[in-house]
Amino acid sequence: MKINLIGIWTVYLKEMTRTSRVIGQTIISPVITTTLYFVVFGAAVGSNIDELQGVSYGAFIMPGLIMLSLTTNSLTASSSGIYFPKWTGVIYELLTAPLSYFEICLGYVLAATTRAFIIAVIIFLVSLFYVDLTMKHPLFCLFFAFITTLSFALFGFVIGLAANSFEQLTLMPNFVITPLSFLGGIFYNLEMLPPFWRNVSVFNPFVYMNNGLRYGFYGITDVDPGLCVIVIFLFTALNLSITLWIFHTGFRLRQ
Amino acid sequence: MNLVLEVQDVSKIYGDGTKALDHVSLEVTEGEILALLGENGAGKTTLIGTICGMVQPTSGRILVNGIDAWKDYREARSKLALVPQEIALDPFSTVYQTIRFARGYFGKKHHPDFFEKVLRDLSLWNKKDNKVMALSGGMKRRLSIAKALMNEPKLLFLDEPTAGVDVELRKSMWEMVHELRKGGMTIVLTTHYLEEAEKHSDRIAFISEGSIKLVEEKEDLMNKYSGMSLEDIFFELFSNKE
Repeated sequence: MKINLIGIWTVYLKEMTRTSRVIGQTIISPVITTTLYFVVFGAAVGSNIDELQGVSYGAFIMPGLIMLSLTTNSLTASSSGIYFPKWTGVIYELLTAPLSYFEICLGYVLAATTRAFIIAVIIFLVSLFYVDLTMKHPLFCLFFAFITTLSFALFGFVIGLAANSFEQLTLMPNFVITPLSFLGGIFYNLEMLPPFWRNVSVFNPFVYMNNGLRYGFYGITDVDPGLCVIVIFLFTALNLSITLWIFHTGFRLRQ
Repeated sequence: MNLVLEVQDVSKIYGDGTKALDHVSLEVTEGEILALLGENGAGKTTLIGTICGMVQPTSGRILVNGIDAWKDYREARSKLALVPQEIALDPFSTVYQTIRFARGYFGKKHHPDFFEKVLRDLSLWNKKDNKVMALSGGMKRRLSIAKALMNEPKLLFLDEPTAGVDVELRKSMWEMVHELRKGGMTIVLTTHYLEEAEKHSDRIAFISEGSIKLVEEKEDLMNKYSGMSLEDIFFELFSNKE
């Protein structure tokens, strides 16, 4: 099977060029926002809070903040990445090139994943100023973060294709992803919730994502780490299925 | 002569039932300039879209150098290039990045000497580091052509290449078209300027309501309608079509 490697690399390179062109918006801004969370919640508020599940409050919230950064940044990077050429009409250069849907998607998803990881690494390094970090399961951390980021980049690709306006593009991250993420146990553990909301949280996939990464860092979690992996695999499978359907039908790509 | 393009009984019906192409068949011979003419909405851009990979035909077959343009799209598209009707460029990229990316999508390696030659030929070399948004309309149109040439195509589609272009640039663009043809490229173009089609093409194809009404050597057509301009012939044919 032939693969247009230079083509994939070019899609990737163009996306990374776009990222570097607006570095203030794509890298610096999310890093500052997340760092503010550390300063406010980790250092200021957290210094008055007892340890949670055996770690300081600042250390407790760090994996969730990294997960929030990974998911939102990979999603917005790939959704805006594919939406912008649709909007300008430049998408024709991809459609007339000897590139398969898979190759186009791969270029965008890998670029979005790279961008999200760059931000996450900077946030991780910044967090070292505020919290004492241990990483009990580094490989699990890396694997879990990578799969989640990849999955959200795929999700973003689907959103970018489906969107017909810039407003639609921001609907999902603003009204679904960020609220679910905040309600997914970034700043608290499930035991702190009243029983009703604890039971509702079971249906929030971000509970498993945040806890999965927290398990990777400290070995602590509200839910079974195996279940976290299953949930993220199911989410990835769902996104892959939608993407494959798009490849099959050419939805919003080819008329 | 070798056939570079064979469009065989191609139809396109959109999801809402609109029939954009109705059993279109067309052959293009290596090295010629074919002008595809028709009124707005006749199906010119849709036909080009089905050949270049932007519009999936509902039925029929398209061969580029004998290669199925949809089944073996990689090989077929490596021989094609399109300059679209609307200028579609990333406004934030530089001129150089634009052509570099355009070549990369086709799986071709970075080739600085070739880039310089194309940009010099199109008088864009001194603008290579400028952002696209800073270019004039004429420069953007030339850059669209530069992008298409990055694939070193055998068959070039120019969809309304001179629309909205001033007289001087129009002249230089036609000179360039002839230069490309001299270099062995086959060119299919659409235009609403019938006097340009009359002057620059070898063959004429008329398309109306999604079907090809006539394909003929320009000389034969002009002889048949002796004393008439292509514009008069166009009106003659289309006013009698009912």
